[in-house]
Amino acid sequence: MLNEKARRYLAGLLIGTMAFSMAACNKKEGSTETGNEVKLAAGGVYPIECEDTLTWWGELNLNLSTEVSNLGETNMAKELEKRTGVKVEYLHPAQGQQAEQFNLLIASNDLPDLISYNWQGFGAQMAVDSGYITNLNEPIQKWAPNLSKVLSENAHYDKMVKTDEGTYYVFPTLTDGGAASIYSGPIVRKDWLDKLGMEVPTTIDEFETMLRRFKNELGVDFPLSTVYGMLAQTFAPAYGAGHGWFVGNDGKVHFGPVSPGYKEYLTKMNSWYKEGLLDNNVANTDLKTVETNLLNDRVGATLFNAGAGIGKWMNAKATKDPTFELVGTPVPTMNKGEVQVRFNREWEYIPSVSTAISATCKNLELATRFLDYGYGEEGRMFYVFGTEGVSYNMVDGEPMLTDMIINSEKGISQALTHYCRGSYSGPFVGDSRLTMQMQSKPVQAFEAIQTWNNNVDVVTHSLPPISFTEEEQKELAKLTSEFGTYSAEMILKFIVGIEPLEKYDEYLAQMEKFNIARALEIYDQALSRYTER
Amino acid sequence: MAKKEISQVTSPVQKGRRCVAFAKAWKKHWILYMMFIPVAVYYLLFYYKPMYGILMAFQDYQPMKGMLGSDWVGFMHFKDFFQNYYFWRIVKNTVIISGASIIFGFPAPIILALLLNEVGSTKFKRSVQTISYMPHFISMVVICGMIRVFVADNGIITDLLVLFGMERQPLLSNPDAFVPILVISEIWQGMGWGSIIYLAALTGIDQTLYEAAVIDGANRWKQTLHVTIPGIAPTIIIMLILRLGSILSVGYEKIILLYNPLTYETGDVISSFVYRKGLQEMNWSYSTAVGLFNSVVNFVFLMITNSISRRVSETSLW
Repeated sequence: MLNEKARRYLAGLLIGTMAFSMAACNKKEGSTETGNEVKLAAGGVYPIECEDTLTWWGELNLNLSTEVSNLGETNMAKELEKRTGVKVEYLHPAQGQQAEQFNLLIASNDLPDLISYNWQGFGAQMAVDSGYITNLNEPIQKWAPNLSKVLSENAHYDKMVKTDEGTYYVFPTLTDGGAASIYSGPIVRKDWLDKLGMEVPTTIDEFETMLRRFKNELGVDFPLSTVYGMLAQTFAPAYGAGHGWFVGNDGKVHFGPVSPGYKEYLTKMNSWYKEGLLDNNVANTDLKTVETNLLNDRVGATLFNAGAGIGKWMNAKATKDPTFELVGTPVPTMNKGEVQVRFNREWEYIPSVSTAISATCKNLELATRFLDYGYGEEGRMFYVFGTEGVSYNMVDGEPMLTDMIINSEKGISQALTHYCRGSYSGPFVGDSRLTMQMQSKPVQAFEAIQTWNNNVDVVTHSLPPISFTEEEQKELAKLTSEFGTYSAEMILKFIVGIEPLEKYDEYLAQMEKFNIARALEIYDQALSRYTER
Repeated sequence: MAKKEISQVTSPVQKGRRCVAFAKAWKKHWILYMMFIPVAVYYLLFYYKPMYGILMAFQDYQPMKGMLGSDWVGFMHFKDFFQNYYFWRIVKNTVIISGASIIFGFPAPIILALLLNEVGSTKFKRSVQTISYMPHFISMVVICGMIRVFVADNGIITDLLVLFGMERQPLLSNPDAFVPILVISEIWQGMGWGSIIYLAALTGIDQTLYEAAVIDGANRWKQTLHVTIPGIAPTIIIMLILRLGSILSVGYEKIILLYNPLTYETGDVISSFVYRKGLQEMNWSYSTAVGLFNSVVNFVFLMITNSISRRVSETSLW
């Protein structure tokens, strides 16, 4: 039982909180008004004077996460706050749990102000219509002069970043398209190739011969070991098949695991598996395992990225084993000299890391103006290169990274994450001048990117950032959740031989029963709507 | 005793009497009642309040519309589930995994407790107990990491099996090995911890019974068979009833940490399916419907075993 005194105290406390929150509300309204008056002369005025704090949810960069637990601790965030005048509280999902935690976030109905996530994949129009995120058409026009300018002057950006209905839903991560569009591919032990007196393999047959010689002559445990997801991406194209959803030669959308040629690809993988050329643990292998085995000389070839792969691994072995050398080899083709076909083009708009403003955001204007910063001249330089004199200097009108960054023991991209976001993503237009400098070391990584981007067709078959209507989204989710599990399971079973390849036709028939045709139809419609934009 | 009182038809007089009795009890034990309040609040808050969420199973739930605003769809999600291509497989897997862990996993702590009971040296007994509890305190993620290493194609367990003539292979890619891996590791994890309750029951056995048995000429084995086991039988039965009440609840954590598309065939169970649907595909309503189905089946099993046990052994939960 509360006595009189306690009750009075409690009442006082309640009134106090109410008064306080009302004051806070007033302040917010006040700041909105002053913002309206400023009306943002060219490029917007920073720092913005405002007391509010924005909350920003998004994955912490993997490199950075090994050193700090919150983006707010970095120089980048502190400097950004100083420049924009906006206090930001960063929220991060646990590493590798992004999708699950995002789903929980959505279900909890308590959304942070800014959310960096793959809204395009989630269903952009649906997200706007059901009131998760704000329709940005008006806010951008009113308060985001920089982004408006970028979009109106670059029609190809504009086409990508909106839905079919013309709704803008994010502050996009954009790239200037000047850099390479492929950053991953086959990686082979160069020193072993030299030992065997072999050339870099370019066709499937040569690749196979190489793996076989690794196994038989050098006694390598896993001639080819890779994260499973990369396998189809790399070897299916030689057979004219894609992986995942892709645009076929007929201009229609196809689903890799049921596309023509996929059976031949599976046959080849199955034979590699049986012969012991492909890591027999392929279903379970994660990046850590590949890495450990590779660094212990148990792997001859793998499929991964230039920087996070070649660069990192060569670094790790540099002192212990100076002969250790990796080389990026072209995606193997059927016949010599053919064009490498790739399906995973990086578009100039990267939906997976673009930032939306939640519908419950209390200070829409502040959020808009804050996010607009990275699309102006100054903001872009800051986001991409960091602070002048610290992380970069202007040399002959070109931004050059400082020695502190270039020679950092942690590696360039890791060192950069403390000062800017140019090495990964954020609400700004990226700059290939940075990418080029980042990829410059070690030279093998740089060359690998050249190899992978030389004589490659990545444009024809990659699926652009299309968008679905709410009904389509629902139907698609239902369809894919059924045949997705089935397909993933069967494909792996074909590779390891639990299911014989004679059953491939049965598999196709079952996929038909799951009504994959309808899913393809939905994709086709979305694609044609996209082209008509 | 309390049960008896409640089940009687209440007349106004009795009602009054009961109030008086309660007031008396309150006065005498009010501290105990106060201590009970947090427990009651905990149950109300975390077990009863969330129950309204079951409504989701009959809706096309969308967080923005909320529980009251979402559209009603009746039994659509249940129908979808029963017609799902994988319905029979996940039910079958659930029953097999759960059945195997009951058949092999349930007796394990009892045997351990009986063996420990026979050990003379307290020092040895203590150390065995401590070592066997240990896996229980290690986080599931770490345990699964260890399992993955042990059964990889060059893991220690694989090496051992190869000695016995098995073909060298990564065991986690073999659908036939999935259930044994799961069940055996579960025994390893839970045996020591599970034995505590039986050890406690063992201390409750009247020592004179043993003396009498010895006089009757019973050896160690006969003592165990005729004194020890009957002595802890009620505990065993209660534990078994509780265990059968969760026959369709196979924990998803371990499964999703260990399975891959190759082992879906034997490893995909109802709870991992619910996890994929609800958390990965954001199909909250569907996943609630499946979860509800699961709970109903569990409840039915609990009721059945309880009533069988009541008739056969006169030991039951209620």
